[in-house]
Amino acid sequence: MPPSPNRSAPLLESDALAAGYAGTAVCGSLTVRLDGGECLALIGANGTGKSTLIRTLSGRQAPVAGSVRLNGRPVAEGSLAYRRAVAAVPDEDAFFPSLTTGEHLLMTARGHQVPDPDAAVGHELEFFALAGRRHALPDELSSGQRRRLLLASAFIRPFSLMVLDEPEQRLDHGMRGRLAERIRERVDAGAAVLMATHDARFLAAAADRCVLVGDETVEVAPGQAAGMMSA
Amino acid sequence: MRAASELERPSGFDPLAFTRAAARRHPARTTAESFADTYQVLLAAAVALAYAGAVLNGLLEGLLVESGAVLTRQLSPGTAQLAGEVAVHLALLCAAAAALKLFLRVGPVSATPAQAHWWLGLPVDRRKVLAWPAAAGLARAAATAGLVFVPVAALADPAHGAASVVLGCLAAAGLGAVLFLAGALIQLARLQRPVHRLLSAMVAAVLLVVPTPLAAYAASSAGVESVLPLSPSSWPLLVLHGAAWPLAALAVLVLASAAAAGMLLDRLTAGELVASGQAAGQASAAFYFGDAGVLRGVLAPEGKAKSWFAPAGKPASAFRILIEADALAFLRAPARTGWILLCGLLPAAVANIAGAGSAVLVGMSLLASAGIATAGTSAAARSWAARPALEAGLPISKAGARLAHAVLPAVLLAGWAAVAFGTLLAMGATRPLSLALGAVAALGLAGAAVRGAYRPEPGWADPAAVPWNYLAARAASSYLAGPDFTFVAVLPVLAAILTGEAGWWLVPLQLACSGFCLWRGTRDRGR
Repeated sequence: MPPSPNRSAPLLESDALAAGYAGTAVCGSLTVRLDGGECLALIGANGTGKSTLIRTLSGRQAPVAGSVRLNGRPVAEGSLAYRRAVAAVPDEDAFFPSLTTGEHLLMTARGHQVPDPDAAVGHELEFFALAGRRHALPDELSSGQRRRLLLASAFIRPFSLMVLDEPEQRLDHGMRGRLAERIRERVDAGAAVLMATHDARFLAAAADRCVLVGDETVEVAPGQAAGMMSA
Repeated sequence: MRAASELERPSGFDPLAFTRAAARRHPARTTAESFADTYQVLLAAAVALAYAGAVLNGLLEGLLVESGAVLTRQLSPGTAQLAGEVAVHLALLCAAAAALKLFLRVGPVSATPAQAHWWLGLPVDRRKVLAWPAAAGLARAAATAGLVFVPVAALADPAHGAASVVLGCLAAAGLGAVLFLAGALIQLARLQRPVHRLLSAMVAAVLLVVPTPLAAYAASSAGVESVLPLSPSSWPLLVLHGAAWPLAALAVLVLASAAAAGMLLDRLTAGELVASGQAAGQASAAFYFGDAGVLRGVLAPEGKAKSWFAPAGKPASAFRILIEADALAFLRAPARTGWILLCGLLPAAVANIAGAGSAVLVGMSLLASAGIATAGTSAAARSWAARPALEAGLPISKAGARLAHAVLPAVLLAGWAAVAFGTLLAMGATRPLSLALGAVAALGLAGAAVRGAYRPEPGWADPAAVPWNYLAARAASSYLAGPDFTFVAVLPVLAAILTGEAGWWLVPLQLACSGFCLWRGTRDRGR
């Protein structure tokens, strides 16, 4: 189990957060609060700064200005509390060439002290339709299978905040729907999810709240956002 | 549910051991692939050693022995045999400075994207996880330094026994480790950029420069030969000659800095570790393939991209767009532009050390300086050559585009010529006409810069019926494209320096050489 959050503070909170590079913000500043049991989606056109903002919100990139707090403390990607609390999926493929699909997941489960790691690996492989590829090396997987393996690595471990940057990438329509359901299950169980997405249906199925990222970063209703994205 | 105190402790799981055990069960590489990898590494090491040996041998035998009398008189009055050794000390100082610059800029502690996601996301002790990759990097740095010292030891004094050479290599390995650890400690300190730069300069000064003037002060009555060896970069040579204290000093430095670095290993974020790994990978690949442009890009200080040109009111011609883009590239890299002008001081510096009468040395340094400056000015055109689709989309012929890419190099190289020939003129090492010849030579050098930028690929992957001859010819023509025209462009002015006479008859010759280089350099088939 991840550490119990400080109930007096939101799980994740940003104050006038500006994300960018070399001192220059790439989008409007963001003040937001995310509690357990909520899924917040960032939307916007390509190049508006969603990925930069999500990396900054999750503590993987230093902010240009403003602050981010996790459980009431400044977010620190290297701290043990952070690593127990936050499950993030990288934007790009990152695998050990000599480890099989099952071994990658087993390493994560054992590292996070999941009670029955072998059973957990079997469950995730089943859910992400990778059971038949358990003994395959990363080179032997398709692009979509590698993406599913990365997603499985986030779901196999306990977390209180999940960070997903365009999780729908390289997934077929059916898997997108199942992923949205899985996200909802974890959110309903008390976890928080922060994600960026370009898929209106995925957004409508998974998100409770939505932030439109651009020169000005504003919160919009998910229904309205899905309509904007479909237009 | 686990107790709170348990959650504050790292998990006892060892991801390295897990990964190693899994990798042993099903290695990703076949025996043949591993053999090929080993062969490639050994071949690269042998080539690097051969290069180092050849360069040192050339330095000692070709230049300093033949023209050594002048240099020796300047550097070491009263002795006639130490010129070569002084050159070796200087070469070691340069090599150590280059290695330290690389470590300070890239940051030697790193992680691959896979390590960052699968290892560093776990609630385990990061210091233990990162210790192995960091130790492997340290071992590589030490081994490389030790290997590089082998030809130095052999050439510095072939009479030394095997035991002395081994101890010298050990000291060189220790020096390599100290430089690596200095870079690691600065990286792990996670300083703001200005403080990082300041501290880096201070570390470089303390490690490589300060001991020498201190020793010079202490030994003010002695010659330079008794001062230079006291620079830490020369300690391996001292060990080669029988001194033991540098080994002990290096061992203390390595142990102390390794212990300090080990305690700080968990300070870097996963993103910072991956960025260092990517920069190191780029630098290694650039070094392996001899791509000085990419290596310079990796080593250049990070800067904020500035917009120098306001949007034009009306559409500009493709010719002008290319010139503006090249100008932008040079303006965004002021250090490189400054370096092009600065290296024009090299011939005057050599003339100052070797004496104005040493025309061969001055001429060779002029050629080297022209080569460096020309390669530097080809950077913008090289980036266009690497992305041919961009240029193909503009309404301009290939020859027109290449002529446009010659404009900025011509301007910069005219500046280089003014510095190079102006300083030589001020020293009385050449005649006023050389200034005019240099200005004309700049046009030819601009052609050489463009020719070098659009040089044909070596074609390593091409199938070949007679592989070695074919590959050798393709590779040679690729590597010579650019330097060949540099030589042609400066030939007349070089003749003026070597003969000490700058007659007016050289003007039409210089015009012809420069005109040919500019015309042919901007019309080569190349890429």
